[in-house]
Amino acid sequence: MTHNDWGSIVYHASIGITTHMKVKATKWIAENADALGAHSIWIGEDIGIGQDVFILSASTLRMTERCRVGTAIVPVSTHNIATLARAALSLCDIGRGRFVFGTGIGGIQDLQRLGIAIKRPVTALRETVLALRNIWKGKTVSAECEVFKLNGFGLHIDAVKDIPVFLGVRGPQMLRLVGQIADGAILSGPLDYLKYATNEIDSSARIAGRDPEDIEKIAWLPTIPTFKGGKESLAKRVVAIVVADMPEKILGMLSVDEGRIHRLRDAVARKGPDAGVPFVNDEMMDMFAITGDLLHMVDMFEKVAALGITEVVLGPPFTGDWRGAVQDIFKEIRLRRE
Amino acid sequence: MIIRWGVAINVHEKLDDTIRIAKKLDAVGIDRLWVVDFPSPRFAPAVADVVASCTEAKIGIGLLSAILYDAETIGGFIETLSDYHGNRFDVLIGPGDQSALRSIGQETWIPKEVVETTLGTTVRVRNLLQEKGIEGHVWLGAQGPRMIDASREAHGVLLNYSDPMMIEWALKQIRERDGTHQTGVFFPSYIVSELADEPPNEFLYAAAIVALGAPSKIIKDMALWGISEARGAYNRKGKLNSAVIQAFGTCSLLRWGVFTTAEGVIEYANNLDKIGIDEIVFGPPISQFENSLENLMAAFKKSKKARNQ
Repeated sequence: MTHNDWGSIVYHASIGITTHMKVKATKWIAENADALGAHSIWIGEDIGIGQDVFILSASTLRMTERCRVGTAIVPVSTHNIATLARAALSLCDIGRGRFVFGTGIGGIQDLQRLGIAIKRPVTALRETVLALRNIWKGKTVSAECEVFKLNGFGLHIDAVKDIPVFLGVRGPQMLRLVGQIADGAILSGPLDYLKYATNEIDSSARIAGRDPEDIEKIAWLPTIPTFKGGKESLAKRVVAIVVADMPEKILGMLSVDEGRIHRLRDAVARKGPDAGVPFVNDEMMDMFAITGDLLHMVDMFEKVAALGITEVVLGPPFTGDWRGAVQDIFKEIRLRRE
Repeated sequence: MIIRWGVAINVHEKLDDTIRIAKKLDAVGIDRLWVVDFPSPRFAPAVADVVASCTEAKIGIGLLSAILYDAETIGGFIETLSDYHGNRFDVLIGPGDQSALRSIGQETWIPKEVVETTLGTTVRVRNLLQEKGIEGHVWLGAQGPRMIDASREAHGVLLNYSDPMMIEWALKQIRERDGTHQTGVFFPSYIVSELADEPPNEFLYAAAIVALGAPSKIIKDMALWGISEARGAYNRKGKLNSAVIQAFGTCSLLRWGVFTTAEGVIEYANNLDKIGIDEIVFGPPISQFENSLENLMAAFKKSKKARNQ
């Protein structure tokens, strides 16, 4: 954790968008991110909904000059590995090195809905990352695991593409995988969980002979600034998704009403995220989201950063005068640093 | 109707070169840029976004393999691109390169199923775009008689032939065509300054890939028996190499692509215009050779001038 001369915690502040958002909104964010001082724009793929994730990434890279752009995440379970390799190569070129490939196995709810069952997700993710890195080195790869099969596939590129790989993970084994092989982690969950997750990643990195400081930890929580007319109901929808995707083991670590959690998960599994909203109470909102007035939200970002998180992501959902709220939040972060 | 000219980009060239070429072709007013996809190392929809942002050209995406992408994904590509850049995008759908697809785990290749999947995807994409009010045309890439005939379900067919006799053969495979159905041809191309020049290996290999995929019906109907011999060499080696190229022979391969001068290409385009072809697409390896592209652009400018007179 780094502090500035006045003792404030120094962390990167970024913006999160998803493919479900309208082009008008994602365009505004891309066009203003550099001026706002956003370190990154992270792009979540709502599978099968809205904009294509790779075109959205390309256009975001095209419309920015300084900030990096990453997927957060595109699942290895729903795209052919060759598509992932080729899309990442293209985005790396478009962004002239500003692209980060954020990936993961996919959300529990999404995989269930799509009928995808992966027996050994940690192995599948590890093998996929290793294969992709070899492909980006210009190698011809023959390998297979549960989610891909390659037989002499290569991109025939002459230059090695060093594309950072971040993993969107939740469970303990996945966190350890980050420490072993990834350049960063994209995390979401309550503060207690984030502390646990950063510790797990760091200790796994040390065991693997890596410097934990080389691994970035990104926290992307649902954020809802209430000072500009944001709708809490939309934040509840996002919280419902996060809770539904949280592994049982992690939920067991938290002091939450287990019965309510199970009813929420059931509802989301049967009818989708909206059905989970009635089960999201204030306790869950405080635990899984960052909401409130300007000063409270920036305080919360600092609190998150104090857990060893290197970058905090703002949004979505974007409601009310969200453009004004985003500008105010980035201004406040900047003022505290000066 | 005057025949349109299109050029395939994003083959093996680097992204900066693709953009530079796209801008040049746009500046001379080429009718369409076709951004090719797998097995190109770069992902066509992302490259198309960048090309669209720095040109005003109409853009075709593809060929997109129906084995690699489902209809919803392909529809999503066109919808997203149209949202950013307006109604400038067509899409070409086909089965894709069988051996390249095999290298990424798509090992099962039952021709009947491949045709059904490709056709089903094409129809679904066409309907998806229509439902969303997107004007882009859906083309079916075809070489075999079943697929060519099935292209009636798409807005148009892009035939993988260059030889006018073979093109006429292909057109006969479509049982009933309505007036709106478009026909185009897509072929390996290399435009030279003088015919004395030898075709480069890249051209011969591209032509050989097309020839190796020739359906048995055209081999029989047009007595192209040399292909069977070359196919034998290919199957023995398991890959395309100089022995396969030799088995074909340069003369034979020249029928599977367009290797000519700027004057020759104008004449060729005019001939295809006369037999009712709506679009010609200059495929690889032309985008990899600066001189060849310059020759093509010179031919296009001359042809355009003649069109406008």
